[in-house]
Amino acid sequence: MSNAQMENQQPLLKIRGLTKEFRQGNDRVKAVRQMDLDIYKGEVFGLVGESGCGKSTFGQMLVHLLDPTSGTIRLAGEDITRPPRRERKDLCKRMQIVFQDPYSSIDPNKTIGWLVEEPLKIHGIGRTQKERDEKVGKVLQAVGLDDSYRTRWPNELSGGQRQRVAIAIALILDPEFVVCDEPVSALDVSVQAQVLNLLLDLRKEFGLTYLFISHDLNVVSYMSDRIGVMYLGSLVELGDSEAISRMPLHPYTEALFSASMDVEGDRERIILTGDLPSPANPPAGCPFHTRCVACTDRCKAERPLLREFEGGRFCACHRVEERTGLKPVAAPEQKEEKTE
Amino acid sequence: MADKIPVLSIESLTVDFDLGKTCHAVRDTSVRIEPGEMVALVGESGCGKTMTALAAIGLQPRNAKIPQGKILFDGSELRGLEEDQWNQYRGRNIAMIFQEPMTALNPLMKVGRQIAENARIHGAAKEEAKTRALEVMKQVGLPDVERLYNEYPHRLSGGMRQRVMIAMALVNKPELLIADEPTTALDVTIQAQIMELIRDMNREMGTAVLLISHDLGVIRRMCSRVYIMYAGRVVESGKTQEVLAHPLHPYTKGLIASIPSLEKRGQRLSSIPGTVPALEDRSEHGCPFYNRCQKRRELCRKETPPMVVHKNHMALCVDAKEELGL
Repeated sequence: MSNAQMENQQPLLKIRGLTKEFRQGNDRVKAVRQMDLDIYKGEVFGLVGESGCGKSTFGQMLVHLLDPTSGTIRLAGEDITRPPRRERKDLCKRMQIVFQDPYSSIDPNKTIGWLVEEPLKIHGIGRTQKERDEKVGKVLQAVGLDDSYRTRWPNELSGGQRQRVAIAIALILDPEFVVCDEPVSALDVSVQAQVLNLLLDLRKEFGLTYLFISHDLNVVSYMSDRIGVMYLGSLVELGDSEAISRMPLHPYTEALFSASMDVEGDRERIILTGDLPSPANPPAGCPFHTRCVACTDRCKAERPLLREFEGGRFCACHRVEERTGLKPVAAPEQKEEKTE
Repeated sequence: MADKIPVLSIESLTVDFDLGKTCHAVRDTSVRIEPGEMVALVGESGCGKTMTALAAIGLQPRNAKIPQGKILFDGSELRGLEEDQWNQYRGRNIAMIFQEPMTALNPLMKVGRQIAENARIHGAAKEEAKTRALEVMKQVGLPDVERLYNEYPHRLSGGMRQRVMIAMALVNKPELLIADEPTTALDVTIQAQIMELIRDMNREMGTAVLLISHDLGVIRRMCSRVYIMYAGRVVESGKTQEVLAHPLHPYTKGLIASIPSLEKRGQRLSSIPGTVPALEDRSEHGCPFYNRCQKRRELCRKETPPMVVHKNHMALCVDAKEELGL
């Protein structure tokens, strides 16, 4: 999807200032801080980052598995941040999630047919058993499993087949938006390709919008239209996936892409020193300054805001202009991210 | 190349399990590693790569049988050694690091002592063991080693734990290090650090490395030669550049083609249909890749394909000869 196409559209999801705090003893850990993001209908939005950066927390807040501490989420213009119980159930029909590990995310004591049918029963869709059976058959076929799988048990299935079942369960209610939280990281390369192809086919067939969370840069840049890079709970870079992979603006994105070591790659490698700081105790100033190769005194003192640059790209770094020569588009005040 | 005595030479090794019938987890596998070389063993899960490595240091499960094959370390046969004889080699001449550093470390023992213990077992005195442990901890890039010496493993991050594992493996300066998916449990940026460390150690100490991995990108940068395993057999081997640029076996081709990348955006990924057959479903005869191969013929089902070798590039496929233009 091109940028021009997206500008003409209302975002499907409009997320503003989304924050999640967890209590850890007497401390408060900000897992996600002040995230602003628009996700457009029909796109695959890739979210990348290392473990503990808050990408899964963010995804789970969108589908109401976690309640945000502050901020708003709008789905097609409608505020769905804190829905009442009854509406929450209706929202399940519109938003679904597929988890990483197909071995623990589906109930081993139920047959595949039962598992895929259950959401229909919960939501009272399909009056007769026959109607429901038909629907289950259709979805199973869409994910590439034939009718014989209905009576089979999860333990008879391989990892790839289980992930297909998990996708079928997510799709049976005809959602508009699906969060894919590392859907292929537990799978082998050859099987991973099958599942990625399936996800892209289904997007076309059912007009789905994905939030695709992964730590694998190869997978994300293959799948996504746009990519957001998270570090310690906030977005550090956002833009078209082609542009980000070809010329990353943020030093962290640069390091991530150079570390991902693609097979054909001959890009110079940047190896970051040190570990990811604990989100409970983030560094002052720029959260990345402790590991950054281009750190200055300003970075240690002042937290950079997410600013827009030419070409519809966003980056939270003080030194974008001098490092890349790109010019900022608007005054930084326009993005309403607060420094703390 | 052939004149040097390899550090490790595994020759037509077979590892069997008795699951009602005899099943081959590893079949007729040969791997050789020259001194100071970095060699990769690649394959999907269930392909027998870890089993090959475990058998090479005598750590295969109790119910595994090794009916045939040689395990030559520096020319001397290791297969069939008693446990105490094995212990002479393990940790001193051959060391191994595992995928998940947290489960491989003893959570109740301070990391320094765990590293020093390995030196102690192989004859170092108490003080010497400590000095050597501190020295190797510095070498693997652990910060503030005096303090870390007295820390418990749970206080360290994943990357630091893997560094501790590497320190433990290298404290006796082994000739061979077997690294079984050493970075799979780690984050991308930490992965890069650990891989760099393993390569530095290989260069500085001359330790030969057998790297087990499923990540072709890592292997391309790290290893000079590669063995591709499928369903218990080595189906292709050769120089890494050569194998990745001109793969001969359909499995290797499929594996390379199925890696997603930016360049492949908008195209369908070519995937290998099906999955690796389970141990008990593998047939005694014929090509191990038969049920997933796009180019299979009747011949492939009945007969084990010939091993085609051309300039150190080996492939186990009936079509390989043709592809090489022989």
